[in-house]
Amino acid sequence: MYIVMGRKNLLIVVLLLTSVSMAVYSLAVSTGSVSQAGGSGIVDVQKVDVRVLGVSVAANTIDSATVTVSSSVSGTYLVEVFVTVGGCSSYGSTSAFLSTAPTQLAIQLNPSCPYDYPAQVRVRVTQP
Amino acid sequence: MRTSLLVAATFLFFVSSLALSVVLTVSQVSVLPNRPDTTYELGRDFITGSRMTAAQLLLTGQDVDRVSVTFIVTTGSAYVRQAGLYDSNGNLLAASTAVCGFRGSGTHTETLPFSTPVPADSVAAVRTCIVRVFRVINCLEMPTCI
Repeated sequence: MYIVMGRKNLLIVVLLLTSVSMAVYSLAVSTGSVSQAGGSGIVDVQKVDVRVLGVSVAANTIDSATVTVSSSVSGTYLVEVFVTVGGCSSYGSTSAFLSTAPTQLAIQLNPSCPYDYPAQVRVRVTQP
Repeated sequence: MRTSLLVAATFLFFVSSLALSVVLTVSQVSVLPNRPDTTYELGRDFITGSRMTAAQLLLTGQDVDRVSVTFIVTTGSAYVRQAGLYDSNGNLLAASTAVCGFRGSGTHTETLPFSTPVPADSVAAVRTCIVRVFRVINCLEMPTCI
């Protein structure tokens, strides 16, 4: 085949095949990005480290929470807080610019919950 | 001449496809958060109502080696305070030193050290607890609450 096709033709075939596979891979990657961005945003990609470094709630009635978050990739993120205290659940969210420096965010919760049981504060950080 | 042009055009297409692949891969990886939800459990003593109100992970480099907790004591008494770090499967990665002793009514902040530093990116849940110990002498039994 090498003799029949010649060196240049063989090179063209190889480059074309490689280019087509690259294009298909690129398409798959970009399509995957779109579908993941529209989903929950919780994926196991090790490149970005979003860290929720701390939470704080009010002492008696939990109507707000302060969370400390950082991200290894600077950008605007949606920070959501889900609070469960006994049978009471509340929710709050905000958009914020995050960077590697820890950022404190005060988030209003609705409805408020009396702090009469251990409180569970779940924090989700996604790209809006 | 035509063959050379074809080779050149194909090579350019190859290089641009390669560059596009790299750009798309890097951009996709860099925009998506990698973390599942992070959960903080703030403990509350059922008898006295004394409770944790804040927990803050303290890092040395990339590792969590201490946690700062703030708690409210409603009834002056001896309490044990402790914190634990868990991964996304619920496995205990590290438990802090359990601190036990008398605390008067009011707000207190303490730093609880972990004997083993834990990579910050592996922490999915933080549990804190505060439990009353009826007499300070019971602290000698080294009670824990995690």
